[in-house]
Amino acid sequence: MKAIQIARKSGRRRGFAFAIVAALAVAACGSSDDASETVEDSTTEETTAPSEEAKSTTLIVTLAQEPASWDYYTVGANALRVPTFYNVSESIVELRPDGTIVPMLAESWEMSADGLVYTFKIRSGVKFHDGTDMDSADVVYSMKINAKSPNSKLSAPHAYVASVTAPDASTVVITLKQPSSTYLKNLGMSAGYVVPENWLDSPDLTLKVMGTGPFVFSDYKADTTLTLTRFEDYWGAKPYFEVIDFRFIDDETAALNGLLAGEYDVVSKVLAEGIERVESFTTDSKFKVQFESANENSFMWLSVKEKAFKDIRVRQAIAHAINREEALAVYDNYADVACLLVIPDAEPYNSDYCPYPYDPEKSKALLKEAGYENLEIDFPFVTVASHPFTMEVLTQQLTAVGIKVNSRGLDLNTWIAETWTGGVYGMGEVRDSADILQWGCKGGRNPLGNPKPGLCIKEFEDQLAKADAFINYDEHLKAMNTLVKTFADLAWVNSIAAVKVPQIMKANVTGIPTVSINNAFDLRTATWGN
Amino acid sequence: MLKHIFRSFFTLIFAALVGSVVVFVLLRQLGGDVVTAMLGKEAAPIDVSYLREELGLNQPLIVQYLNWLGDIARGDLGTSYAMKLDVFTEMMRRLGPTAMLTIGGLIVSVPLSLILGTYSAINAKKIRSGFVDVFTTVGIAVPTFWVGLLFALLFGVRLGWLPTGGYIPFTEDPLQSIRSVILPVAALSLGVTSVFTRYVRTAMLDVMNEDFMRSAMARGRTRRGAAIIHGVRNASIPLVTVAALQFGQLIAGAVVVENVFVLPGIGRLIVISTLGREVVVVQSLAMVLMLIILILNFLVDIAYGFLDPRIRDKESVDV
Repeated sequence: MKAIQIARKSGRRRGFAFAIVAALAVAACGSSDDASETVEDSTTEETTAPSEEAKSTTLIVTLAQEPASWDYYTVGANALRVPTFYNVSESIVELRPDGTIVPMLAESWEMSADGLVYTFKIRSGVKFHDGTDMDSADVVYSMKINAKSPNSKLSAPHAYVASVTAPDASTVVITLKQPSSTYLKNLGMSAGYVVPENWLDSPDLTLKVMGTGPFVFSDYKADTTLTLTRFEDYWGAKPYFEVIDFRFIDDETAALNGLLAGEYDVVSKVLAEGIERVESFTTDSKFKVQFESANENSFMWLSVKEKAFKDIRVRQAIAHAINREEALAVYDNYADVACLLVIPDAEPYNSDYCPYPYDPEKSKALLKEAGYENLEIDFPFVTVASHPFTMEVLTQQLTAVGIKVNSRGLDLNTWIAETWTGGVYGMGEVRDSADILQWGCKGGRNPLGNPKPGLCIKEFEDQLAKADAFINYDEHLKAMNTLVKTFADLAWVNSIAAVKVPQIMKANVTGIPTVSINNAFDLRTATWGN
Repeated sequence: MLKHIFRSFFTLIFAALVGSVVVFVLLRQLGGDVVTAMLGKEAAPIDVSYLREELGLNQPLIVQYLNWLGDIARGDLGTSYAMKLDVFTEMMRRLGPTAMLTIGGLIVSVPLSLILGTYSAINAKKIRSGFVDVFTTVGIAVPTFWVGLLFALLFGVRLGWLPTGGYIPFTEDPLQSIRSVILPVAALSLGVTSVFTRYVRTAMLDVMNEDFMRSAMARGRTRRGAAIIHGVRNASIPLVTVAALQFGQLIAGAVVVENVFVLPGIGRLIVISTLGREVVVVQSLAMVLMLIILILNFLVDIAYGFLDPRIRDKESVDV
């Protein structure tokens, strides 16, 4: 009997051991090669990893955000342009990172002496991803629908367009009502999107992006992946990668863990909680961290409806209370102090001009002088990305000069509806890429242009009207320089920081630009390095 | 008995309708709508108004609700506003990860909790039982997302045994599919197992004092033998009931785990659709989940009627 019990016990132990071995086998069985490499990388880093990856023509990239739809005509979110602009869709001209404008779908162009007429010679031999040829009729169609789009990034630059015509299959003529220094530059971004004629009527409009770029929008699984495949009929230089596998991962911790485990090649942007982990990647030789140059400014603004803020001394007091150096901690110092609202910060009209440097004593004195020593401000903030951290810093700094800040967190859509559009706020904070030309009382932006009726400040409006209407580029730059300084002086909007976004990737990934045009994550030149 | 079934059925329908109204009203209390999510913050008011009109969002709320309810009654779960995705198709596509998570969670939790609960009950007065108590206390106290993160870091990043996230459909690659859900199932199961273990322990302690257990031991069974052969079967009846009723909790846990491990399941769809104000998607999914939970409750209710004669007798007296 005892022998039987021992045998049973031993059998049970064997069964248990078998179960553990089986479980480990399932775990180890499909354990990825990448994971093995991670372990081996410490000893054979230079030989193993690059040679394995060099064979791969697939690049796996994580994206933090996913658009509500792929309808480029309607959706204004950056999330649509990040994976598709330049990769899938192209524009009439290309805006290069150094600010120069080079041919893209138009191989050349001419501007009339009065700056009102642009004549584009359309490139021949360009095909859309559906196999049809692109010609001037497609460009005319695209410019006309772009001008009517509810997405202001497409339509706003066409405000001064008088007509768009196609005298022949390879020529497009655009006539403006008044000269615009920035019109051509805008055609290198969303306003210059070219799609096949009648694309707006396509049932696929919401499901894919159609274009002429080096990658085809091949497969999309909501909340999972977007697969781009190399377009073999592309008119230009073909990219190295045959497949770009974008993974939608909104949790930065999960994305960075996957990168560490070798499951992904690139984490495209680190915007929120992952910022604190960037440092650890900079010291790990298996990875590379590069910073996308500042395409967004973090800034705060004040409501024109509040009586207290109509007194410039109160606005100046608030501006003096902001310690921008301290606020950089929100971005783990991956940002630069920015007193002027110049986006991108590399624009030639940027400068170190800072009318209201950090000075808490002066701030208190100005509040006292204006009779607002017990000022209270309603501060609704967005509860995602860096905004909660910025809210904490601003609240602390304003409290230090005696201002009571009533902060309240809202999710993004509620914030857009209530604060941005509805105008229910005393003070707001956001990160944005809109350039200064959109900030007038007719521009529809907070605080001067929204909520209606807005606030028209003559000096600023006059400068705004003139700044874009120069044919001479140097005169335009001079006018823009004056404009941004005037805007800073008004202190309705206080720029805080020009934010650089970290991109983290395997050390041997190369060719990803650090300057992002139109928010594009441009993978045309991406490849494996040594 | 028939009256009991009818009463339970009408309770189910009434609860589903009340639930749908609550979900509908709550969603309308959120700021912004799908047009805000689509057009972004730069949209002109006239464009916002036009798109709202086009999508039917300017209709009175009661009309919107009745339209949606009518579609549901015809078996049409609707279409998302922005992407124009059919909700039923999208739900079926996402059923895989959620089913693997929840069913996997039950497959792991039920037997494990029976073993642990029984072990703890048999050794109730010994220190060994304390280990199980510590395990269940920790399992209940530790948040699921934290356990998930730890598992991903340890088994995914550090050891490289299992993927840190993502999902591979079973039909594409069964082995990789199982590998992709091992960590999420483990993370989800920890809390559920702990709760179930406590139920089993309590039930088992009750069963151990029953006459039939004493009879079994009087006939020569050891205390452990009697517990395993006669006790587990009796103690597992309340566990089945609890497991059915805990399904809602399991789905809630799945929402968290799906986010931590980036699994494209129904939980993530609800979260994303809520953030994107895709109200039709959220309403329809909430309705489906409510119906599943209510039907499970309904079946448990009916089963009680069959199993417990006192309920049937009470119905007769009421008549």
